[in-house]
Amino acid sequence: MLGRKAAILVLVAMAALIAAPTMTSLPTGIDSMGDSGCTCHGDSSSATTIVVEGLPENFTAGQSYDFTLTVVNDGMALWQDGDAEAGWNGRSGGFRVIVSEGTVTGDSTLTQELKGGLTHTTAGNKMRSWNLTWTAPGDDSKVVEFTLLGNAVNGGDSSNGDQWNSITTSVPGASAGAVTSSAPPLRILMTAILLSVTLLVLAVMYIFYSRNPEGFSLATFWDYLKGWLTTTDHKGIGLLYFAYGFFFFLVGGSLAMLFRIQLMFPENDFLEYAEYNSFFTLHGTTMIFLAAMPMIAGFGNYIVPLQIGAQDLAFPRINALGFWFIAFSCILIFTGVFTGEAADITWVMYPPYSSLTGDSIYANSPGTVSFIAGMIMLGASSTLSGINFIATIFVMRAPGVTWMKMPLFTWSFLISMFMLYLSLPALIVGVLFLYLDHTIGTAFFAINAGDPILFQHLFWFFGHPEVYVVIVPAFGIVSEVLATSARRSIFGYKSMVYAMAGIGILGFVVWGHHMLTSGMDPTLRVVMMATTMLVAIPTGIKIFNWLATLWGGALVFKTHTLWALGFVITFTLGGISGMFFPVVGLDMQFHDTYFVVAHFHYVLIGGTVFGLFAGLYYWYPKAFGRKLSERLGVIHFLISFIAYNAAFWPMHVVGTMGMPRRTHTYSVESGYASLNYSISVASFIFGLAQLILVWNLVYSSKKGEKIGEDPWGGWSLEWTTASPPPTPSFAEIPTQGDDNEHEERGWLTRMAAKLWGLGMKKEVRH
Amino acid sequence: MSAYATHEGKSGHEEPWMSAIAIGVGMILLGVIILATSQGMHSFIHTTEGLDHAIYIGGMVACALLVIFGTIGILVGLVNTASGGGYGDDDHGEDGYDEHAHHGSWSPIIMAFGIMLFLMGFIKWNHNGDFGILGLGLVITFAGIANWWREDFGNDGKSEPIAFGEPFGGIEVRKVGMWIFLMSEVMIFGSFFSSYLRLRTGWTTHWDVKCDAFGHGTPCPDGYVVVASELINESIWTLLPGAINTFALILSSFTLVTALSHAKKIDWQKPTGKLTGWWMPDQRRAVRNNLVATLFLGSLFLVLKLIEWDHMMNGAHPFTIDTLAGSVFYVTTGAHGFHVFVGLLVLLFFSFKAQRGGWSPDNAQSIEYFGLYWHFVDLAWVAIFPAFYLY
Ligand code: HEM
Ligand SMILES: [Cu+2]
Repeated sequence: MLGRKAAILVLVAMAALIAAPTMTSLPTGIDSMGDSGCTCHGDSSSATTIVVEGLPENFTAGQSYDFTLTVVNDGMALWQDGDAEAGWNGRSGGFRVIVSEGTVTGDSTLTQELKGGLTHTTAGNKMRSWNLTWTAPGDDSKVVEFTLLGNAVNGGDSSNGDQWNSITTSVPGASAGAVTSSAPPLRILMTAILLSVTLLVLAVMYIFYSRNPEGFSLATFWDYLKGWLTTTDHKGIGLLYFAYGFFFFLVGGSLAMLFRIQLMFPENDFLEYAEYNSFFTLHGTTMIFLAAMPMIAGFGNYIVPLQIGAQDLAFPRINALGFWFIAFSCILIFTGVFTGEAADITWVMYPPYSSLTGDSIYANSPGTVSFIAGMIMLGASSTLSGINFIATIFVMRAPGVTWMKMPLFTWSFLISMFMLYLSLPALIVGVLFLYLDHTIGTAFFAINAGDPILFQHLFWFFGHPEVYVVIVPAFGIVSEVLATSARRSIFGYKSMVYAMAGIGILGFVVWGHHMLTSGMDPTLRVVMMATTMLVAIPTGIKIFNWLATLWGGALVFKTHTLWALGFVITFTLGGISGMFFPVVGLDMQFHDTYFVVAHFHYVLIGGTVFGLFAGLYYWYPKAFGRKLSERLGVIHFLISFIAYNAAFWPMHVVGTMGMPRRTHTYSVESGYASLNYSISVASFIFGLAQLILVWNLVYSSKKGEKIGEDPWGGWSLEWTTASPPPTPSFAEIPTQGDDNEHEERGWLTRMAAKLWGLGMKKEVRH
Repeated sequence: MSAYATHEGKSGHEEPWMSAIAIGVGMILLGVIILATSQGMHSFIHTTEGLDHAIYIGGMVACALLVIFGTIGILVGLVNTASGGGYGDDDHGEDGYDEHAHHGSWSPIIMAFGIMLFLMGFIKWNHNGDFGILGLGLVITFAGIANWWREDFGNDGKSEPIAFGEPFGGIEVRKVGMWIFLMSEVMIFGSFFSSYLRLRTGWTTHWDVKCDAFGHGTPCPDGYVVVASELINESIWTLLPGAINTFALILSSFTLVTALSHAKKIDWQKPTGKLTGWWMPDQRRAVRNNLVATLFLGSLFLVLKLIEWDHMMNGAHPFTIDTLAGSVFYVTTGAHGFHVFVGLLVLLFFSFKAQRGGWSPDNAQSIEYFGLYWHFVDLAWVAIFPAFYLY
């Protein structure tokens, strides 16, 4: 009853809306807003037809063709019956033509170029038929698409009563072969999405079914699925984040292997240059934003509330919203792959290439624009996580978890979230500018009129903190893992905290080191050089603290210990290569060579990924109540560690030899061939080794060794609740008694003790 | 909630959400009437050059806003009707660690999906943006928001999450969240500002040359870029919308705080003044009227803003978005306008809730937290106005 009433009211309102007059028609021409047949030019109507005469069946390269475009509408009443006295303004029609290739021109008094299309001028507004000329492109193997919009105008002051319509047609070149009708990108995309969602649902259904084949029914399955889709529990969301990130870690890896095949041999043509470009673009973006960040967020969601003794995050629904933003962003980011023109603007998205509008097919393809839209969603997602984590860690710590007793992972997470949170806005604004350049025609980064370097500043103001955002949580994980494995408390707990905080603050004033070759002010370059080098100090403190922890402890070698040790080695190497770049003179040479690629893979894989793997082996038992297989784990570690170094170490060498990054191939004479071959082989081994981990995850969730609350002898609060933890995670808010730093002395004594008395801290637990 | 017992009791029963739908439809009709009137006036008045056009654009924007508000009202009504009517069934607000909190919510996934479609709609698939997808995205997003509101509608403040542990024990968690959120907002506007100042101060451009762009005084060198403030400062009429807006926003902060203080009063008394007594006859209406006034002032801001934009884009010296100066101006002030708009959506929700007598001293802190946001938006304008309009 109510529904009916409501529906009727809604209909009435709609009708009133439709009846309401709309905006005035513009004698100035129809610009790109009209590409979609904008309703501000009256109503779309089948009463108007568009007739084109004179276009060829097939075109010859470079030839010009005259054609006429006519808007036919016999039924339309003119305003005031065409009486100029009474207000008829004599306007009768308008048009807009867009071609995918070649150029369309017309009489310059009647027609004009406007935002990538040809349209009428004020004088050309007074007729309904125009003589135009199309000059065909120089390449007759193409099929040229015409989009023609025509508006029959009644000459009134507003567009009320105007009727427009549009047609599309295509003309193949003489050697284009038969025209295969291609589906529109959007439809392909939707099909791909539907297909993958269906597959995903089927897969989840299978998992659910295999758990309990007897009890299976669609209703119970729906309840199960609904549980995941609507969950606001930090553990559920944490697992979703991690699974999502891990999946994209594999996707990004597969992309990398594809272009490693391409680079294996000189002058290879396994991938076209365009494919190569979009593959490395998607690889970089996927790895940072869709793999590393979600996996980190997964740990944060799952572990942080447990470590501080909170029952959940501060804002569970906002947390879920953050996850779903990132979940849907991948569709936007990968769109191009399905529609045929994947984004190729690199993960740093520099304009003007990334903001090119007009002829460049790739840079202005739907794939690129939706990639940019995806970045906006990622930004929104991380902002929401930021609010959540900062608020949670600030105000929801259980009694006893004071600032200086907070586990280091939580500290690292807080610092990393702060950096992310305060730097993200710059990215969001930069990417928004880019998006608007593409969609509504702003000119932030336009080639002559815009300011492309502005984007670099905005991007790197975010970008540099971002690389620390992905490494700092790994610092935290490694600190936890090493301390537990060495069976002692971490050495120099407070200096660890201050070091991370120092990195966090310094991270905001070094962004210029990515732009040393951009023509930046020389003074600024020197400043950025100095600040960047300062970062080495807190980083060094951390490394020495880890070493001291090992020294003073009694190390137990578990898989997570191995990964953490691997981390310390490779991350240090990556940090050292990082110290070469800030030296302005060196960076002039190193910038955009493989040396940079070597550097950031050392810190990103050898740092972040190794750290995350350490965390995975360490906390998996907490989430699933079973250990990952140690045997598989050790094999996984050994193969990965060796193959990883074999793959990335030689990149330093090819880099110093001068091989530029982001190039599709290299010549035989360059001499890069043999090193590249070995890099490729090693990287395949590294990639395949990850399948061991996949298998381990699946296998151990069923067959792994069962554990109790605290399998490793960890001290922080997450080990005091059941594995897996109940919901809410603590039956009642716990109190943390244990103290990370067991003695309270003045800072001077403590410093002295740290500097000279390593032995004093040898305080083995258990 | 004693002060509202009667009202609530009444609306808790039959067809509780009819009023939301009715108000929504009313708003849409009002919008259409305003539109028709303004168009009518536009064709009759041919006075000052700009005035008739201002009325014309103003009517259109007002209508658009009312239609959006009305649609949301209808959506809220429909969503609530569909989910079984009355509120209070799952009213946990943001209280994550409340025992009943883990029943999940559909709102996040719906909203995220809607926003994805919305962003997709702008992309030029085959040369065209797809307005169908864009609109669908908007509707789905609003449905998600409406559902979120439904979940929050019955929040009576009893489950307000309070911080525990040291050193912030006792603080309301949502308030902390809002302050943290504002940190990010500061950085957002900071990015806009630094982008603008980089250009405006002539660091990378020649925008800071002093000359008279419109040929009355010192002629400008070639390649000189006219910035927005030169157009706006041309005459008192062009500056007026911005100036009124400044006061509208400041006043709206005041009305919002008034609403809050009335909602918070435990033993509320009718003000004695004649006017104030008429404005606030009982506590429910005191809160509602002040919220609606805030909503109105915020809407006024947007209407005037678009009148001003229209004049700048289509006036004697067109200042368009396809130049760098235009891009920076329109996008920054547009981003601010968007923040106002988002605030209006919340105010709309608050007003609905006030209409239904949903505010009490126990849950009025929600108005306070929103107030933090609203004052921030106000403050941002107080920075934007001199930088973009006067400088
Ligand atoms: C002591 C520490 C570090 C220093 C001094 C440092 C310095 C630099 C410099 C100067 C560059 C620019 C090179 C160029 O493009 O010419 C660079 C690039 C890069 N660094 Fe670092 N870095 C350090 C640590 C890290 C860490 C911990 C990460 C991430 C986990 C990281 C990730 C990256 C990435 C991804 C790039 C390449 C960006 C691009 O695509 O152009 N760096 N680093
Ligand atoms: Cu950097």
